[in-house]
Amino acid sequence: MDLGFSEEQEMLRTTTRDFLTNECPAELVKEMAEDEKGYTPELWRKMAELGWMGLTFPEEFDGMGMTFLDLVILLEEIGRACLPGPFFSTVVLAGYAILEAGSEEQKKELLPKISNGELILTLALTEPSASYEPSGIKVKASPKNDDYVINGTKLFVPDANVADYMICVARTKDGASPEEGITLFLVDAKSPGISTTLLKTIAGDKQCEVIFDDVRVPKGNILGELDKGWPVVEKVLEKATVGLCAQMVGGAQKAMEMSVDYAKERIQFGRPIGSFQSIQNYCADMVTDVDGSKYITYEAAWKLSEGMPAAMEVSMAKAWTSEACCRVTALGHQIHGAIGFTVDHDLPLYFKQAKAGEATFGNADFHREMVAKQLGL
Amino acid sequence: MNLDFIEEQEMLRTMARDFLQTECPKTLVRELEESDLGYSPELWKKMAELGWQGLAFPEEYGGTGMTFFELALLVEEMGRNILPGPFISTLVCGLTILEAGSEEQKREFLPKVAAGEMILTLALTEPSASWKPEHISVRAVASNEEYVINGTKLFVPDAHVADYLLVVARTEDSAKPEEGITVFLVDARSPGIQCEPQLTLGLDNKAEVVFKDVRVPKRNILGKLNQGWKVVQIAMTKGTALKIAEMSGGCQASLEMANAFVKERVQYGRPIGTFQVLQHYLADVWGKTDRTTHLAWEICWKVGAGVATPFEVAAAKAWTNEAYKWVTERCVQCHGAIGTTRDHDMGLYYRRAKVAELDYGDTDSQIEVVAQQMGLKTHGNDQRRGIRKPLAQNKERRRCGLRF
Repeated sequence: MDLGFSEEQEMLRTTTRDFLTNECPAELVKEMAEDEKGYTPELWRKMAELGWMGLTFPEEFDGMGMTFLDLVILLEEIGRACLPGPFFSTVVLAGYAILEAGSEEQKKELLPKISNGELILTLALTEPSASYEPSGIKVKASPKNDDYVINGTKLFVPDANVADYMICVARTKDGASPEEGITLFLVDAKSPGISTTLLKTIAGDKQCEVIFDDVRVPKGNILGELDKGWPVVEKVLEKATVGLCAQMVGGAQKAMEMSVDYAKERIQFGRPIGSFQSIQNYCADMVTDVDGSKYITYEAAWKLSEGMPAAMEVSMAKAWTSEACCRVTALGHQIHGAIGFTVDHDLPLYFKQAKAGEATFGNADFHREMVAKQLGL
Repeated sequence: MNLDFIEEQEMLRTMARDFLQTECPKTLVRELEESDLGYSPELWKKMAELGWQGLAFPEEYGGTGMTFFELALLVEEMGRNILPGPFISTLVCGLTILEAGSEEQKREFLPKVAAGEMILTLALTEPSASWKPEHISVRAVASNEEYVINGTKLFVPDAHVADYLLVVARTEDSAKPEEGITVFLVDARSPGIQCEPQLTLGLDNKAEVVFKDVRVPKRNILGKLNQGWKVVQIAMTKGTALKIAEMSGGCQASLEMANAFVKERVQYGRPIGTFQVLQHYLADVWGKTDRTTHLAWEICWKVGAGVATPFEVAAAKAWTNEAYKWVTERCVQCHGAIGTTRDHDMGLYYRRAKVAELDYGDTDSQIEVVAQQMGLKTHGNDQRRGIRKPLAQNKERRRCGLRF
């Protein structure tokens, strides 16, 4: 057993933190929350130059061949900086779907472009039911000559407003069980019949409603096998869930540090508020929650990295981290008092990030159900 | 990063689990709880034959030369099965002697511990029930080649069966409370020592030990004169980590018991595990248990590697304290009425959870350490955590079977 990170991993963490401290100050985060695109191409290019987009892609696709655990470290730092933009959608959601199911040809065409920062992708999975289960997939794709024709509405699609391609999860057959008959399509976002509307979200992240109206996709754009797309989605969701936990943990860590610093300097009743026992208890609870979330996330990440089955660990990490990070940021607000509620302050960024993260890829109750299932209940 | 166990560790865990299941069934646990000794000398000997007491000692001192982490894995299994007895007490002291003792002391004590011939314990806390240096009031005064110890230690684990006590005493008054403290290796049969068992909720073996003009040779100082608090910290760090491991084992056993129960208990025509509320209980219990298990591994690995900070140790104990209580409470809840009966095993864990919280520092005191390590200065806390109740009242309450 070795719980330490390697030297390379520590370096990755430090360089990422330094880079984001310089390149992604809170002002940028706030600006991007109001921005139509939600990211700056300039920063996107710099990230690509650092090799972030292709971090876990094999070297033959212009990637760096690093592991999922390495990506988790990067994501933790990204969460710490509240980095806005389509990184998660492109690299984690779409990137792993292509790695998992793409043909050699598709990989050769797409992955190097992603690595080089030339392509933005996303996964169009959830629908108005907001379900992450196969029974929630109602968007239909029907064959017509050499194409498939997609019809239906996807909701809460992240970064669809800037994506070049969407991986659309559609139903191609009504199978005996809901997992059967689902297919992944690689859809050019500029195809006729696609209309994308940006939704307003509390955290300023870009989520969209995407309506497919007779959208034609060539058969060659099927990702993986016809009717057998759901296991791919499951694998992608496992990685995405843990990746999101890492982002939330990074944010909670930062919120905790800000709050502890504030408790030391804010004077009330003639002494720093951190000298009051109840504030100390808040701080201790925060650090325990952050530490707990971290290791439960690392545990799941390590298992996924090693290719071990990790359904249980993934669900526990999300069930735990979702609530813990909301608790941490809420306590952070309690410590900061009135000033923490002003828009000028950075703390609300983290509160909102935690709240948004809680609902994404299944909330705590959803993952509790998953754990109960694994327990054989 | 590698979160896997090596083959030897897996073997150790399996062997320990099998051995304890066979040798220490719950009937024996209950019997030992009610017995005067509180442990089984016969089982103690068998454990020594398996090399458990000497597991983490180097071979030159009669040990097997394995690591602290492996010892913790063993203790985790003890917590899972429940093994009444002085194992943690003895090993905490043994490891402290290994780290702070002179060559002579190591040669004298460690082989005996490894052979199962010596039981040790740390006599640290006093009627203040505090883990802080400022509350060490038992005194040791030099007299010729000896020191003379006077005062009262309270909540000393397993003192009634110990051969030697590691007594933490004040040898000098100093502006800094952590200075002027010395640790003595005291023969438990020395004249002037009076040991009276304290009945606790967990039916573990705590005792009041009164020292009246107890004479100890100077060579029995462990570590350096007046610098004993460092020795205490060694013992506390290792003890806290082992306790956490034991508690995490208890969480695992409780979870497994409750999980099996809700699948077989039928109400309203179906197993109660099919009800959503029970499912959520179990999922939460699983989450906390898993978190506690990994935290225990993390902290024991770090303590073994010598890289654990006081901050991490305190935060881990604070977490485990609350988790163990919560997990056992939920598991009793899953069991319904049957879980509250004395005959059921669930209660054994439930009672232990509360008592284990207090060992090596309760949640409040650990949180205080965490806060201090975060740089939050305390005001007025020392008064709060000082002597909580007058001694007379304390004794009165103890007579009623209450700990505080």
